[in-house]
Amino acid sequence: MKDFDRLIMTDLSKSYGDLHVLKDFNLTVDRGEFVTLLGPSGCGKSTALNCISGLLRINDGRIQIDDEILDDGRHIFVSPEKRGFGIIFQNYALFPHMTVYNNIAFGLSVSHQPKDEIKKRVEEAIRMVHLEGQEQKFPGQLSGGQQQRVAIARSVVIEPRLLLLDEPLSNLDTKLRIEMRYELKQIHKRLKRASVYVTHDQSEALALSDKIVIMKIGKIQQIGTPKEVYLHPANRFVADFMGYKNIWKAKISEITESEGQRQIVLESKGFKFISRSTIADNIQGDTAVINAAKRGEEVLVAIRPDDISLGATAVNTLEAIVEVTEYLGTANQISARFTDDTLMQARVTPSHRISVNERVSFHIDPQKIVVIPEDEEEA
Amino acid sequence: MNTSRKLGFSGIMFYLVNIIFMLNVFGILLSVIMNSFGETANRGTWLPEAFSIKWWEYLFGFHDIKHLLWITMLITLLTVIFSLLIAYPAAYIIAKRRFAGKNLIMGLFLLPILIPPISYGLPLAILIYKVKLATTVAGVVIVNMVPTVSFMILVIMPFIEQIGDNIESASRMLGANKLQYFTRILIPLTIPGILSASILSIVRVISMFELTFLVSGAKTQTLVVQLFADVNAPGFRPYQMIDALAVIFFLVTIALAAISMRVGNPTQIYTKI
Amino acid sequence: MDRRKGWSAETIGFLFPAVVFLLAVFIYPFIYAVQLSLTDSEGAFTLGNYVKFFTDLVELKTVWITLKISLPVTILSIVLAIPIAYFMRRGIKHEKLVTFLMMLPMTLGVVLIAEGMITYFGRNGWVMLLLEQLGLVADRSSLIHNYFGVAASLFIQTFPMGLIILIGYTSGIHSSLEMAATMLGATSAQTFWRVMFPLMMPGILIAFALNFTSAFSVFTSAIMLGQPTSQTRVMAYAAYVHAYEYFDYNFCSTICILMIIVQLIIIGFVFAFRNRLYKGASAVGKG
Repeated sequence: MKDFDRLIMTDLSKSYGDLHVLKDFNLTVDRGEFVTLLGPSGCGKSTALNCISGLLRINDGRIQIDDEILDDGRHIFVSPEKRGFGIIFQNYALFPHMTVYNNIAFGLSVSHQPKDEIKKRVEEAIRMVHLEGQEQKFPGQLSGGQQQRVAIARSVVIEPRLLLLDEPLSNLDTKLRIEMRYELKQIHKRLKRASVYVTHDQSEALALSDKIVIMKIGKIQQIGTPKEVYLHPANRFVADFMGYKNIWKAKISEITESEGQRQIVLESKGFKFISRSTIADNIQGDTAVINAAKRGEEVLVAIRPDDISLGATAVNTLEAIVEVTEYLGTANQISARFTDDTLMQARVTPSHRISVNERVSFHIDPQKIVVIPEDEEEA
Repeated sequence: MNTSRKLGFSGIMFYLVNIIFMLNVFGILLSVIMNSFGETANRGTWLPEAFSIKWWEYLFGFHDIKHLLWITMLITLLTVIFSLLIAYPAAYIIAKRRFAGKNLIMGLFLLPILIPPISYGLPLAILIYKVKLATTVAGVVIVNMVPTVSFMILVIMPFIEQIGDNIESASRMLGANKLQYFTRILIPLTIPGILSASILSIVRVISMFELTFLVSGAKTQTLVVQLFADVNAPGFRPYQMIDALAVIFFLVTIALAAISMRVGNPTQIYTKI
Repeated sequence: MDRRKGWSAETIGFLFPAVVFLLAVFIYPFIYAVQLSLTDSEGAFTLGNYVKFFTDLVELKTVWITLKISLPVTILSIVLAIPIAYFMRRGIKHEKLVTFLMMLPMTLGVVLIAEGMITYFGRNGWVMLLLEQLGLVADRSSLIHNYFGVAASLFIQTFPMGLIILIGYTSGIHSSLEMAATMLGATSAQTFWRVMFPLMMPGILIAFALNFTSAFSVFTSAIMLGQPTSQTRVMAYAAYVHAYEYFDYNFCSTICILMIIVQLIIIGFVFAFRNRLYKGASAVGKG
């Protein structure tokens, strides 16, 4: 099918009675882009995907491809079989009574393609997912990974203009999941078709995506490149989801900007912190932080356990009493308690010997301290 | 599976009641078979005084057995085919869709199984007479379809239920329309359900007496109605001949029931209610 | 997938044949019968049919006769089925064959079994012969064409059905419940009466309701094995005679409506009651 320039979703909403599962959903997917909807279960990511596929109708808003409207929540609705999209499900949904070959050929066969054309394209798809020799087996005779390959081949063989993937790797074990993740990336590179991928696994999202959409209870929290969402979370939810285990309240005492750099001086837990960042890295979060500072409100600092090191330095040094240490092989996981009774999580190199109940100094690189607004807890 | 447990009261009851029950059932069936081969009417001996097939010959002269078997088969097959055509799409909707008033529709589908045939059969028969369909094949098929449609919906429904919703989504996303989904995915996947519903229904229709009895005429009597008519006919009909007819009916039914055991569990319908 | 509660075109279209068919040949005859029962042979409104039923002792007695046959048979069939279903709760050897044999009378139908019973229980039948040789009876007589014949036939028909329903329920009760009771120190009798029996209760009620409604419309065996004009003149037979011999469709409909009402009340009561019992624990059928 003909490729498109842009899939545009405007103000989508979907609800069941009083339950809003999707609200104010705005997103564009450009030609060839790999977009991931990321969030915990119940965040509305699968609902959003089903609305794009047409398996669900939206209540309000508009889904369009270039100028072609697919669903406007009212009169216009293009049914899923006419959208020319492909989908891959978590449980693969292979047709159990058909061989691998017939499963892959199904989409071409229902659209009445000539026999030899079908044969040519199916064989090509089978080669692409490395299933040569398995053509005459039934899905029940295949391993989980092989079934997933059949599902991929089945949906790409019809050359969909958009590929939808609903947690396709969740049913695989860890080792296989990483292998298939790599292959999915290869296939995407080769086909150059826009894809929308749904997952709750942040490492999958970071590894595969051009663009990540982080969602919570039906609402988008942040849209950005993997690097943006990882390094510059826009709010507490995103920071938490991206592994910032230490999120503390803080008060801004000073903001200075020079040569494209912004420096924020804060105070938290009786310590002074300095955060440095490039202006324009995190527009969404920074604007909110600056506004909060102007109003004299508190903000949050977010720090990953890996970004906390042992020992005192000139800036960003803090002290806490070690409560628990866990040896993780590559690192020592430390829980330490501040005087205000809150806990800190740090992951330090295992070469240091630290004993429990010891008072220890830690320091944090100013570039690694993220300042985020306090007030985002809206549903 | 119960080997390690002692028999107990329930075990004693199980063997006692079942053995008595089955001995009587077999006794009933066996005495019919024996009697049909008796030379003379039984005068109180365990076995017939002399064996003979003369009552079987008499039976084939008395009744047009070929026609009887033909009409029984015709009515049964027509009932099952038409019921299947109606029941399958309904079973699909009940298994896969939610809609307001679903319980009401389910109730409508269940009632013809819960209410015994004679209760609704009599008013239905009056109507069938009124619309001049009585004694016709069409009339007999229509009345027999009432419980059969319900029965088939209940048998087929779980077979459709167990097919994942994603299978249908996947088929749609690959461009298949509803008809293609039914013919290429759903029906092939539910062949076991269709087979089991059909064969179980065949057995039920063949032995369904009341409804056929109320609307059939001389030319549309099935085996079971003929058997009843012979027993209750005014005037004398030799009992050995009636027993021979009963044996024919028994053989047809038991053969089909044995087949039904192979394709499905005949008890499943009762565990669903 | 599609959680819309509305009636889509597909839902309507696919349900249409079955719903229309059952409305036409199941619900409409019922409405038609209600109408017939409330009119006289001229078509004028009257309550006379019902008045006649409840004042004419010949007609009223059919209710008593029907109950006298159906109620004891239903109770006996359920009481006997409970320990058997309990015994079979974890499955037994050759279960498929055993259930097939138990269901044989249902499969073969009432006519064949009744026809056989005429021979088997008759004056010269095997049962009489056995009783005579055991010295239990002095003179031969027929065991059928009376109350016993009809009741016995009804039992043979309904017992397997009740049993199958009960087995479905008992096999759905998870064995861990029984083990838990045993581990808590309950004897097997205590386990049965305090754990298993209450959990079987919904199944017992359903089985009772279905057996009773089917026994309540006893018809065929009342004709073949009883004395339908006197001792076993049951309601269904009376209704049949009024329609097919006296061509009084109004009165036939009256009896049918009364039978259906009794059956609906029992079914409705049991289903409503079941929903208030422990449905969750034993809802898993054997399937």
